[in-house]
Amino acid sequence: MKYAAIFCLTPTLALANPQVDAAIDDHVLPRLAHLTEMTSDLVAAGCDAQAAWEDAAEAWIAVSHLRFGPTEVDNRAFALAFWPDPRGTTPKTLHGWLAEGNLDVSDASIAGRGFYAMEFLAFDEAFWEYEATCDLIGALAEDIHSNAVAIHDDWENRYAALIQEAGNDIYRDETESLQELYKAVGAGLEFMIDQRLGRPLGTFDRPRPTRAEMRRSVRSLANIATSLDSLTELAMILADDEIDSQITVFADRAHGRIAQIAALEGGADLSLVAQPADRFRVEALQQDITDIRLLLAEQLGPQLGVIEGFNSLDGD
Amino acid sequence: MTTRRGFLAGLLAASAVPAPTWADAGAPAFLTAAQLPDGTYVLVGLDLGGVERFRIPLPERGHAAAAHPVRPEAVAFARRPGTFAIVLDCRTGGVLARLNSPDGRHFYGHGAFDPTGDLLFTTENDFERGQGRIGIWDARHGYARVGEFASHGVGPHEIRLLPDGSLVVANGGIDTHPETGREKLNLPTMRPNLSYVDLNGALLDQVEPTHHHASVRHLSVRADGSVAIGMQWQGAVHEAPALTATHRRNGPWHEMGDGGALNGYVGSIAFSGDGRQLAVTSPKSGVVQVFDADSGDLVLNHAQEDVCGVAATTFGLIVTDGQGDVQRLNAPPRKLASFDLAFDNHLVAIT
Repeated sequence: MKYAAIFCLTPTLALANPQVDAAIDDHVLPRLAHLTEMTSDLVAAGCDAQAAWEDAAEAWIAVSHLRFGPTEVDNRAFALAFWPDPRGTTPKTLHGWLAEGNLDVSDASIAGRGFYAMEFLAFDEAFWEYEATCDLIGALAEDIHSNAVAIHDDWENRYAALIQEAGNDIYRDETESLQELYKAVGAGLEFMIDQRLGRPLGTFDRPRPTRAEMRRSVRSLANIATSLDSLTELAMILADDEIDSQITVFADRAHGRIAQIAALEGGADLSLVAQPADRFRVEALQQDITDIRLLLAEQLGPQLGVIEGFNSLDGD
Repeated sequence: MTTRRGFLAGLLAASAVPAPTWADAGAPAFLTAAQLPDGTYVLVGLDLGGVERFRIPLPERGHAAAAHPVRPEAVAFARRPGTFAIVLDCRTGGVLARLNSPDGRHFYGHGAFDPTGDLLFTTENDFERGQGRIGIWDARHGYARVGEFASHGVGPHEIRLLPDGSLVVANGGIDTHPETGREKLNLPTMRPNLSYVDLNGALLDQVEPTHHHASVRHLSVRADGSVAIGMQWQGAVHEAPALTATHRRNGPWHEMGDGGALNGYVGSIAFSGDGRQLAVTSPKSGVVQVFDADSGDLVLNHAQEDVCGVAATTFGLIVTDGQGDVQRLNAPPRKLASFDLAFDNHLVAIT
């Protein structure tokens, strides 16, 4: 009897969920490991950082939807990615630091740190007249690498076990683990629709090509392709075969549209949003992504117990 | 044929007609914005029993409304970041005035009248500076813009009139810019607060919540001047602190409940009619929690999908949800009415 009571008090062995396991082992951890390799190369590249920055930025875009757990500790992800920046705080901060010769960035304002700040330094000539630019590129690369490593290590050593072996304070059961991953996909798709595509699109009467993400390095459209691949990879790990085949159809359509846009002048940096004849292609791409978002909300969400209500989605 | 005598008699008779009151609009007790099944939006007047008293089309999704203290006029605010509000004659559904936010400002979706109903105060964003403002509109002169003052924080959301005639403002602390829609721009450095101001904008008292990631959003005011505060957590849900608090000007900050049980999110908050209880709704967790307002003890945990609007009634509390249900919360909770509508965030009591 006594032994039985002790047995009952032992925490129940957490059951692994194959989709959660696959999401962590085949998506989160390898993509974060890739990010740390690329940020290590970025440190090694020194001031001649353009090519290494492009690889590292691409690796970041592919994990930028994973905004829970390790990315949110000590504002790590905010320090990697300060965008969108409607008031232009990043260039202002950088000009200030360069004028003062401030290179101690790890405790400084996040507006001057991370991939988006470094893009200004590496790709915008307005920042090349300062003596300290090269040193600041080096300092930002080290800061980026240390944050990327911190996120990856935290996932590997702590957080992967929490989400894979649900039955803890953060994930009470495997459904909550699945819901977290599902919400990351949804938020990533919305960010693509509203910010990565929505910002440059502006309105028909007032397109905003200079608001495109990473336009200085001409990565705006490439980021859409990278993000789409990574988000559909995670969605298809979570979804069943029937939904997978629909995701494939929608994603292929979006990739076809991306290829068409890429072939046009002003496609790679999305500046063609200002051309009335071609703008519709970017709007159509935005609709393709919206279709994926709706598909998931209507079919995958309910399977995972996520019901998106009128008020619960409002956030106000 | 109109005689001079007849004309004068008519004029006298007209001036003797009493000014319209809420009774002329069917004596509704509450206002709420809602979405119709066809995707269009309306402002609805409900009585204490949950019966519809009027329904007026809105051009876009609404958020909260402000009810004029005397006349049957409602100011319906567009959802954040809206740039307009419309003043509706609730007897006829006619538009009496339209408030356009000035250049460089947008509305946050809430407003409050002064005790006489002469002035309307609205929460606004000075978005180039990222600073909260309170706009002042003259209800006696067609709701003309007559001034503004600082909200004493960033991202002011709900504003309420206090019994002493001053105002209390929930500065949520979250910086947004219309260029980036509802994207939150300053989460690492956000500093929400609750500010008490007089009608000229002078700061009377200010208090910050215990955790700087607890965005102060929604307010309810009791007859004795106590303020109930509903907060929204901007971190991981399992780390959410208490998200319900009470405070009085120059008094201590009392927290109650478990923010985790609310999924880190309070959608609306209301004292009960007698002021002894305090209800918070969380559409994200699909629960209403009712606390003893003074002890902070949880007295009811009621599951209701997509619940959000909550208001005091003479007998207690009433809630609305995204499925169109109106429920009273007195034990046991009971459905009062059901509509083919999705009720939006707030159920505003007409006082």
